[in-house]
Amino acid sequence: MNFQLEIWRQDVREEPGHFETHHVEGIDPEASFLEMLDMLNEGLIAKGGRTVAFDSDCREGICGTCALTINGMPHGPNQVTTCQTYMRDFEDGSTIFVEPFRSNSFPVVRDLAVDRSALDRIIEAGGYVSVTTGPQPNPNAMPISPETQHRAMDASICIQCGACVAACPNGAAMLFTGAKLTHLNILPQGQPERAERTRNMVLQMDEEGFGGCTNYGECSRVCPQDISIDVIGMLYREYRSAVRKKPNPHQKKMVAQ
Amino acid sequence: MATQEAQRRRRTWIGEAWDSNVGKKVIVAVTGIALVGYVVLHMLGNLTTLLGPGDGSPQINAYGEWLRDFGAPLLPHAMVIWVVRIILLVALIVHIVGVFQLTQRNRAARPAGYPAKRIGRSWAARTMRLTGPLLLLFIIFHILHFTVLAIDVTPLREGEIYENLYGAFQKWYFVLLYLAAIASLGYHLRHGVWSLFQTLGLDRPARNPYLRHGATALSVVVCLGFAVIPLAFFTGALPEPVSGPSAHVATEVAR
Amino acid sequence: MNLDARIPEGPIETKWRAWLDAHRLVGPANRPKHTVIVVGTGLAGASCAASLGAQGFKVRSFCYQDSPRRAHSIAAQGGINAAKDFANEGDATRRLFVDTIKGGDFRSREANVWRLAELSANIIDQAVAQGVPFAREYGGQLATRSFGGVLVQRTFYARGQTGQQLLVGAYSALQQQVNQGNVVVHNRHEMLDVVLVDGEARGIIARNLVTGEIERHAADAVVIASGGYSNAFYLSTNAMGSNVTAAWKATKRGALFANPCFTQIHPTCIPQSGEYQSKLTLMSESLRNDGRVWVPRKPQDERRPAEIPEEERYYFLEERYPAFGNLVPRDIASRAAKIVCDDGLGVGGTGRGVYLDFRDPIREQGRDAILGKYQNLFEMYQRITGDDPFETPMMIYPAPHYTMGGLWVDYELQTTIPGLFAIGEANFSDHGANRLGASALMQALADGYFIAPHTVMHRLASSPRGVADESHPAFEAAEAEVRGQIERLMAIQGTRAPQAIHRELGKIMLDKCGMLRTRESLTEAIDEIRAIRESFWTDLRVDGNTDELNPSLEYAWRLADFIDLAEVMCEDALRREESCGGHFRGEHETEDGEALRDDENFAKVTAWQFDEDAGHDGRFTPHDEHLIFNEVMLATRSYK
Ligand SMILES: Cc1cc2nc3c(=O)[nH]c(=O)nc-3n(C[C@H](O)[C@H](O)[C@H](O)COP(=O)(O)OP(=O)(O)OC[C@H]3O[C@@H](n4cnc5c(N)ncnc54)[C@H](O)[C@@H]3O)c2cc1C
Ligand code: HEM
Ligand code: HEM
Ligand code: SF4
Ligand code: F3S
Ligand code: FES
Repeated sequence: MNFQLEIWRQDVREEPGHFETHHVEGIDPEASFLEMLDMLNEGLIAKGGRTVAFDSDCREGICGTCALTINGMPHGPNQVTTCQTYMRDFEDGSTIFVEPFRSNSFPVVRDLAVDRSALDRIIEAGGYVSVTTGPQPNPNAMPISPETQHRAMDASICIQCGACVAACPNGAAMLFTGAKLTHLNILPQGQPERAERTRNMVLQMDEEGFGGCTNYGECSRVCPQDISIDVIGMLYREYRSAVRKKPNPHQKKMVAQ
Repeated sequence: MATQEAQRRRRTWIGEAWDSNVGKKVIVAVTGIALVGYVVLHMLGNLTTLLGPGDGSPQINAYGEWLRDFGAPLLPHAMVIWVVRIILLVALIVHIVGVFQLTQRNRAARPAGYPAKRIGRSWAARTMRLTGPLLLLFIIFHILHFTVLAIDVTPLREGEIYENLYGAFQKWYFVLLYLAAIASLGYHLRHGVWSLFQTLGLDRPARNPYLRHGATALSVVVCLGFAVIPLAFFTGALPEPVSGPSAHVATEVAR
Repeated sequence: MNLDARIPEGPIETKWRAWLDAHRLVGPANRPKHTVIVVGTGLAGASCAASLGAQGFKVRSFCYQDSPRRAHSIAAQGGINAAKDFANEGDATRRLFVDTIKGGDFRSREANVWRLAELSANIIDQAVAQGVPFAREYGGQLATRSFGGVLVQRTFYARGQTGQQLLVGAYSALQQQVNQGNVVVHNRHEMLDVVLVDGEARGIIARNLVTGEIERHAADAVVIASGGYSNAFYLSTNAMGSNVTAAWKATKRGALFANPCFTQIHPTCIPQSGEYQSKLTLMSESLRNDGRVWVPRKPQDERRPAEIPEEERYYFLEERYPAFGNLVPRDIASRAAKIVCDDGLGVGGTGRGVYLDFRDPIREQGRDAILGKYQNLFEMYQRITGDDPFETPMMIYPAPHYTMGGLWVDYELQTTIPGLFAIGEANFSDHGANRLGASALMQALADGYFIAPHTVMHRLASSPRGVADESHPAFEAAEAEVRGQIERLMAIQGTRAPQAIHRELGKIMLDKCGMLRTRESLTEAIDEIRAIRESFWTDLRVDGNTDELNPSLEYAWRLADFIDLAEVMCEDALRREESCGGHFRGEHETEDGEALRDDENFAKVTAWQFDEDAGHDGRFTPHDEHLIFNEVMLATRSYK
């Protein structure tokens, strides 16, 4: 198969980028999109050109590193990660636009690679259960119904790829944060910190400059893990009650009449 | 070390909510409820117009008066309606300011000239920022028109609601204008009503189809409910008003 | 060199307790004054950094990915073992210990393996407390299943995402410590050297992969948790970035690299489909619980699998190993598949594939039951290959997957360089010549949560703190060396992309140092690897600049280390004149083609010393650690 590629080139975060045209020929339809780019790069090296920088690691759809916007769609035409997108999904001879994930909270590092550490900082703000290493209670002493476990799992399968942010017309990180929050807030382990976690993660989301949600639902449509906007509803709901809980370490003493 | 900072930054919960994107959206949704509530009641109230001109004291006039007299004699004349008006005005202002600020932040979160393909977002959702301002313009116009009675292209008389409506809706341009406003409202509500349930965290996978279809149904009903009046006047389905005693007297009779 | 593993005295059951009772502590008030560097944020690294941070030490954590949570532990699907006996089979520490020693074909250290088995139960408790959503039974109790080569159900799992979920747990613990101010994470940083002061590890040199800056980081101890080296084979189930660089730099500085030839080729991977392919995808071994492995009896059988009648199907695992059938350990299953393909019975476009068929289990248990167990695996298979496993059998073929070898460490997980520790897949200690399924996660977490935090503390308490800061001449020298190497790579300006050279290296390694090795193939391989090294240093081309994100440059230095490592892998395989576990030498097999161990001469670990400046033949020097088996009788493994 042959393709014309319009690839985003940008040397550093501060400088403006532009599209550059490349042609690739003789691509096997079974090659993945990233393997196609590998071939392009190998050719560029042989010709003395400058290779296109992009991120990938596991190449099996699980680590969340790969992050290309292909023809305007984060991760590409199918609802899977970029690395699981195959050339058989494209029309032979077509022109393909390749860009980085776009969001002001994801500055471009170089070409197609972006900096998504804002998502790490959201986790840092509260995406954990505060336990330290050491003896823990017998896990079977805390039964969890398979339904709850499934719901937690449906949220915790998020691979932190950031496609939801790139897809959202508002650049909101609601699906990601909602997924992380749902996972911990519905499990018994997460209860003690439930309200604080919620508030802190929401505060951090704003701090990072992510937009707000207007319930467009596009995030869920690109999410390679198919996370439902149910988690966004959960986030709203949790926030609504969390924000009213005043952290009050000095409760007043009660007296009898 | 975000946690401690968050603790320190906290003042009142409402302030914290208003400052955050998520909280602000929740507040927009709550004000949305007030606005939707008003619109639905207003629509139902308007439907009394369909009872016709009566014997010179149309039901709609009585309804208008009843609103003003609500709570009498415990409360002074027109107090309740003023309270409601103030609540609505505040809700509208908060709604609009909230939406405006959210929009600003959302634009800032997004690089200029974002090329992405849009997928699956409904037309109604996409046009919220168009239908909203249209509604605002309409509301201003509409209040000037029927409440303040300042748009006197057609004769307007205080208290004579039926007569005023009849006069206005004989003109095709008023009918068109109102229908356009109603269409905007319909679209605004189609996304807005479902959206407010989601924003308040009340949607669930099991309820989702009902809520979404319910929101659509509500918008259709509201649209039809409003639209039937200008149409009925314009097509002549509703007769000319009978000039009779003033609305005030009519209310007395009704009681 | 004397390789003393420093195993505590006393009965095996109490060795670790005895060590803990005697180890030295740093007082809580003094802990913030000590700095520890942890290289790697996989299960081993993240759990170790988080635990040290929680103890109160200042930790600097490094990973080359853009987020610590993307380390390759994320990819583990199947599960994690723990001797908890939730399935009421009488499982206990000893049984897990024995299984692991036997599974490793008697090439691992008893004391370490016992401790691993002993700590396994705590891992589950720890993970559950963090919120890891392991599968549950209807009563709300944890579910377990059996996995790869054992007869008890001791494997805990979270859908097909056990590694991801465990890592999210460890990563969130890490982020909590970042929030507390105890840990600083340096993402997109690659360790390029370890700095020794008076022969002890006192810091590292790392490159900021975004700005290209070469940074010095001083510390009181360094922990390497950089994962395995399967990518020496080019195509493997490891991530694109998985590399041996951190461990290899330590080797260059004098640490020993143990058992490099012990690599595991995993039986259930999706076969390669073409030259362009950049990696292989693993299908969880749990598929072998139900799926039946077969090939047509007739070579080059062109029929569709469904058309081949029962009697013309060769269920080679079930026939050869009736007791374990499709559940034999990985090394055995892999080699069996290779043999049938070598005999021309292989299927698929390349003839390098065997069927993994769910026809019978679907018929017996129903479609829904199978879907319930394997849905995400079936979907993944279909996404990659375009074939629906409900319609046609899956095709699988072995692929390089795990490396049992690694930095030599003693009982305290310390390398021969004082203050330099190695944990997780990066060390060699617990799996011998073959790793059983679901035990790598267990080892990475036992090392990271429960062992290294104590042994590192012991080291910190026993050695002076703040010996050298970043301005020490040793840092200056190390930095200059790293800069020199990078400039050398940039200066070659040949014509070949690193990926092209790597592909060539991988082919040699797979063909000649893979599932089947012979004296001849290994000797050839060594010559060919030397030729590749030559070509690398003369014909490589790295584009771009040194002060920016430069994936070609990263690739190049990782490949340089793989080339060195590949040679010692072959040397090690050549020296080990026996077959054991994943190491199968054609010269050493029983009459019916099984591995023939030589316990007399090779019940030992070979740890290699590397001298870069020596000539071709003096670069690698072997040292032996003899293994003593007191608890398990040395016996031939039999899965028949
Ligand atoms: C596909 C697959 C499936 C598996 N399934 C299972 C299973 O079901 N059960 C099981 O028990 N085991 C399984 N394993 C094995 C297991 O996942 C690994 O052995 C284990 O996760 C290794 O963990 P680790 O922490 O040692 O290393 P890794 O998770 O590989 O982490 C390595 C870390 O080191 C960092 N790093 C590497 N080099 C450098 C450098 N030079 N500078 C800075 N940082 C560096 C990386 O950034 C990364 O953070 C599987 C492995 C694979 C590949
Ligand atoms: C009759 C008057 C109005 C009613 C009944 C109404 C109702 C609603 C409702 C229910 C929502 C959804 C709330 C949510 O999910 O958060 C909403 C959102 C919105 N409204 Fe209105 N609204 C009215 C007037 C306006 C006006 C005058 C404007 C603009 C100036 C406006 C702009 C918007 C916008 C842009 C949104 C989308 C906000 C978001 O989803 O984040 N609305 N409205
Ligand atoms: C065809 C449809 C409509 C008709 C016939 C109609 C009629 C009227 C009339 C007669 C009044 C004056 C009542 C009085 O003074 O007692 C009024 C007031 C008002 N209407 Fe409407 N209306 C229509 C549609 C709408 C819509 C779509 C909206 C909002 C989006 C709206 C919002 C209002 C408001 C805010 C007032 C002022 C209420 C007050 O005085 O407190 N109307 N309407
Ligand atoms: S919610 Fe989905 S799209 Fe967003 S980061 Fe997680 S996996 Fe990616
Ligand atoms: S697309 Fe954006 S607007 Fe909300 S529902 Fe998803 S975050
Ligand atoms: S590279 Fe890991 S998800 Fe794509």
